[in-house]
Amino acid sequence: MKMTYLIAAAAGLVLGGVIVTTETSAGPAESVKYRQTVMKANGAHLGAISMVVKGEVPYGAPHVVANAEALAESAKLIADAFKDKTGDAGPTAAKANIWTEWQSFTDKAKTLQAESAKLIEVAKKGDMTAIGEQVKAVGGACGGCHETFREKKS
Amino acid sequence: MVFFAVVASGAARAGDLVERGAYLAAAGGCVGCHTDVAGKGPAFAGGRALVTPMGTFYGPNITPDPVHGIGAWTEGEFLEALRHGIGRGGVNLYPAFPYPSFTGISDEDAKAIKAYLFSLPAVAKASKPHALRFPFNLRILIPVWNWVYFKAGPFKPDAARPPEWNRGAYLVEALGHCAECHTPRGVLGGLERGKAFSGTRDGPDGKAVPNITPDPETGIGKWSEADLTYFLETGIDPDGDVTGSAMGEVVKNETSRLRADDRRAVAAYLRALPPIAHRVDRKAK
Repeated sequence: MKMTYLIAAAAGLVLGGVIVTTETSAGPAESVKYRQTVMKANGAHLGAISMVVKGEVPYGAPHVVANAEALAESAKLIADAFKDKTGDAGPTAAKANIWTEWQSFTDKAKTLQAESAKLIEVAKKGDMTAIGEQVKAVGGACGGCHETFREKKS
Repeated sequence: MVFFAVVASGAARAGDLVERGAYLAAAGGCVGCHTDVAGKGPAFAGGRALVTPMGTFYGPNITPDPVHGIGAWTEGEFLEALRHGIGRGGVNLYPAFPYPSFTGISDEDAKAIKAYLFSLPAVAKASKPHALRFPFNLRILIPVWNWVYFKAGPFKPDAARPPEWNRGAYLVEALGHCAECHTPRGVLGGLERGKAFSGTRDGPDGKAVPNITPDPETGIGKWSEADLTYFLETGIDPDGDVTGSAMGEVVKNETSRLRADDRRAVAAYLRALPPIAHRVDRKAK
């Protein structure tokens, strides 16, 4: 009986191991696609915020709050999404210095979290001019990282 | 009492001049090429590398240091550099210094820019010599290049156009020197004026530079005026993407610092350019 438990436990460990392995290793193509999708989501939220700020749509500050919340959450995924270096070749604009200057890269991702979190608070007060100013700071956080770590290929 | 009043107003005028010069220097983006940003060097003290097919240029020190900077330059010498690309002592400057654009800057604005630069702290840092390939390392050939490609002369407003368009033209063509990156160049580095602002695959540092004529498919014809002024202010394009690369720097140092009316003038001028269909394919999709 004890032997059966032992075998079951061992089998469980092996199986668990397999499952864990499956969870942690994305293929390079998926890895690149995932982080590009996360970044596109960030861009989409900032794009939506920008449409409100430009006055192209009438949704006002409440939509800036919601989009800024989504952006602040999504920005937390950046470090994880880029951790896996396997996908630094192929159709990607990610520069190799992301992984050699990892601390600086993740610091910049944290700057985006902080600036978008600040945008939530500013937007809750509803003053569109102040919102516009804080959106500039959010854009600056994006651009500051792109300047160092992104290279669009022609 | 009268004497003090005169001195005080004189100082105020000098202050105004420096302030105006600071704005114009920002609109001209001087800091970008004249600061070693990568090496975290002091502002305007030079050292930034500009990689081109002719070799690598290094922006020189333009702080008022009398030995390593331009502290010993007279106002006339400073103006001559902007107008004709001739440096102190008659030396021909390379057109990597965009005098073909800066020649359009008014004397009044040029003097204000000089006053601003001379108000900055002097930095005793030697300028790095350019590393150019033969035959581009021969300065003696620059007058030939000038003869073929360079047309000197201040910006002339077009009376048939509204003042906003003319202000935009001045900011884009002269001070902002946008064509230097956004217009394709021939083999000898001359701008192909017939293709003005239609972008190039071979921009500075080997990067592609987008078409900014109002062509709807390959340029920015689908951008509204608000899209354009907003981008110049924030770096955020209509898709929500934020520019990095060289334009990120231009937005940070230059276009975000313009007054809103000047940004609108830039947008008005760009949107009135003749549209040119020229696909640059800057994005890998």
